[in-house]
Amino acid sequence: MAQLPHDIQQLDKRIQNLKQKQKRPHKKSTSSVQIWAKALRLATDFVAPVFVGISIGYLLDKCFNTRILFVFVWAAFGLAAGMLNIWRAAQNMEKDINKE
Amino acid sequence: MENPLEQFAIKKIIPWQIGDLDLSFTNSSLCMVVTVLFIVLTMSLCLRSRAVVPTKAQAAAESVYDFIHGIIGETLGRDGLKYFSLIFALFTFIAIGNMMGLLPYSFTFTSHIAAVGTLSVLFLILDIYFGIKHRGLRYLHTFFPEGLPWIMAPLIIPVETLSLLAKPFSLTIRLAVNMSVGHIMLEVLGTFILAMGLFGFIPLVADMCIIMFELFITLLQAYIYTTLSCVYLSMAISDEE
Repeated sequence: MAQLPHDIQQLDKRIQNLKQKQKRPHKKSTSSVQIWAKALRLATDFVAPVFVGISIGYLLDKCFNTRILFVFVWAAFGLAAGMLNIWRAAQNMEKDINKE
Repeated sequence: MENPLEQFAIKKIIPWQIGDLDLSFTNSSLCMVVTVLFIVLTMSLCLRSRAVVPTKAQAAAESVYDFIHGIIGETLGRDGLKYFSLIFALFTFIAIGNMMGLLPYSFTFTSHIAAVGTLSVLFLILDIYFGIKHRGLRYLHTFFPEGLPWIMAPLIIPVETLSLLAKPFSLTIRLAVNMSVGHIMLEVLGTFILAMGLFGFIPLVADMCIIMFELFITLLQAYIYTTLSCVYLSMAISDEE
């Protein structure tokens, strides 16, 4: 019986620890899988807007019979969007590093 | 030598044509139905007992639950838990679909741009819907961030629109290409096993190694697709610009 208060104290401590743990925001882990995910994301996030831009430009050129005017303009927009994506991804990574 | 691209051919099982619209039930549709049935049955069986001290099957199902819970926590935060069922369905559908493609004589629907593209576009539409629901008209700041001079609008709006439209494209290409390339490699090496006679064990060992690697890739791709979908969703509903 003399052990009981100590046990209860231990239990209380564990409950408090668990509660604190649950209150904490999710910590971003940097496992190798996440690094893979980030690397693959950066590669395609840069290229994808260029392809989409060229496709939109091609369709507009076909509609207005303008040879490759819109392809050039939308490819430039795509390139800018790709750079913007990379810039945002880099900013997010910097935020994550600062949080850690 | 067999054509390694033949495995991706769409075959009609129940033909159904309405005017120019082809609504046939194909081998791709069949695999999707089998995938969904497999997920529903496995989850129902594993979580049948719902005991406080879980059985091995229940623990396995709960570990998938915990995994998705972790992804949502890291990308969307606690508020993102209301999208749990959507993200859980997305991950399991892609992961099981990818893995089913590794079975002999099955079909990898995730290697088809049309199938994955439809899923990605659907998710983009949901992103926009949840974005407008959460932020109202402030969602339009996605296309033109607050505080920029109006003279920049003709430059910024097309760039931001392209950035948004490229999201489903990049999700689709990443998954479909990774799945196709792995399966082509397996098929090509598989044909060498018989063709090389006594030395056929060399491509056989290589094929076995690639199957193990592909198993890892199937889960990795499902993880990447789900994580990025969550990231795009968090960008849509977040007020940060």
